[in-house]
Amino acid sequence: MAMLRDIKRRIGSVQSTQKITRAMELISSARIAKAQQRVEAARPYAEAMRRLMSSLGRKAGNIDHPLLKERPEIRSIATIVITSDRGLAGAYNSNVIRAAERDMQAHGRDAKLFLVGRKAISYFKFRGYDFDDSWMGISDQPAVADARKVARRAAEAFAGGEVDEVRLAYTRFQSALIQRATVVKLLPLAEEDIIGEERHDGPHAGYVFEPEPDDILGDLLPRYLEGSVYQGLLEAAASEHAARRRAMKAATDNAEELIEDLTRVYNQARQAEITTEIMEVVGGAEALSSAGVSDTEIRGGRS
Amino acid sequence: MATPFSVTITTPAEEMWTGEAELVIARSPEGEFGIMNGHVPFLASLVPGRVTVVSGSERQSFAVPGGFLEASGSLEEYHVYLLADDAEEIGEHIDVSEARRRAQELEERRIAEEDVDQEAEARLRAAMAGTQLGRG
Repeated sequence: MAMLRDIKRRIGSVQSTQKITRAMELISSARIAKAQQRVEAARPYAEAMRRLMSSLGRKAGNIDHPLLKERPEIRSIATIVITSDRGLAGAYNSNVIRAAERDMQAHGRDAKLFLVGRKAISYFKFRGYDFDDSWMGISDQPAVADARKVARRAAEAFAGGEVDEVRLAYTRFQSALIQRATVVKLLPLAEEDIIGEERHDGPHAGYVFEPEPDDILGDLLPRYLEGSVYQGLLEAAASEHAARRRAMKAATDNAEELIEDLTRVYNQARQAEITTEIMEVVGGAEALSSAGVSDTEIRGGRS
Repeated sequence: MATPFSVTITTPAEEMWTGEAELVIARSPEGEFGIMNGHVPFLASLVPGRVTVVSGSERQSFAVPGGFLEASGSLEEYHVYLLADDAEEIGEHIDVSEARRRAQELEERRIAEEDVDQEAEARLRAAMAGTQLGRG
């Protein structure tokens, strides 16, 4: 009897866990859709930015901006690692952290870290890494202002000579099914990104610039960087929700299986208990009948 | 008044406003300027301030912390693109203390939500660990 009660209780607790994981799965689904919309909504600005930049780059005589300068010697590289604040997202965080670590080992330079998300912070802290700056509370629903904070810190470190290169480790959102941990170079900005291929739709001949094209380009480059970080944060957020939905679906399915198993065990146990009881009755009856007591009396005695 | 032309205001987050106007007023480091249909092709950096879009008797104002303005096109297809770091529609006056109060309220709510999140996650994690034990 005690065993039956115990199994029943376990079934109940699995069921209530399953309710939560199923709810989280649904919430994540809704959030993926929203996060994808935000990635889409950010596109017009990024495109307009590139268009302006490419024509300005052509117009500006001599592009000379601190964010563009390649260093002759690379001694130190900063990596911005984007993770989530919340867990229960499967391998989402460990994948991007591993990609960043592998990249750091591969370049072998003095490594600096800018960390986004509680998960990156606790991982690198636990491993005894020093990190130079960190942000929490932005990875779930990143705002432009958040991207700006991170990008400015990176630009400062680069322009001030603290680091010679800045990279971004984040999870690219390819589709609701495929997300990839990726490391890309952010700084120095590559000149070919800025000038790009020849384009005819941007401002060139006959334009009036206020102030000079070089100055406008100088205003534009930091914003281009902010845009890249923003894009990374948005894609990472979409990937986070996709990973969490997957993890929660797996947990819900596991719970389902577990409930089925436990129910089977419960039924078997109950069956066994009934069988034992019947055996006892039959055994008792036999014992009594060999002792010469009638059937009627046994039945009467049991009820 | 002059022929209207189209205006698009885009921020990093979204295309936030499109419409028609006869005049757009903004401010570059060299001073305030106005754009009307047929203005010579123009590209400017913007300094923090107000961008005003005038259409007939209507005036709409946006607070813009910085960005760029590009104006170009033929008389029939003239277009002003405003790439703003951020843009918020504002009235003629801004209530600074009200804005501050709202910012603080939002920040407090954000912190409270974060705490709840952490707690809920810890509970669920414990529950899931429990069911895994049950399986072995």
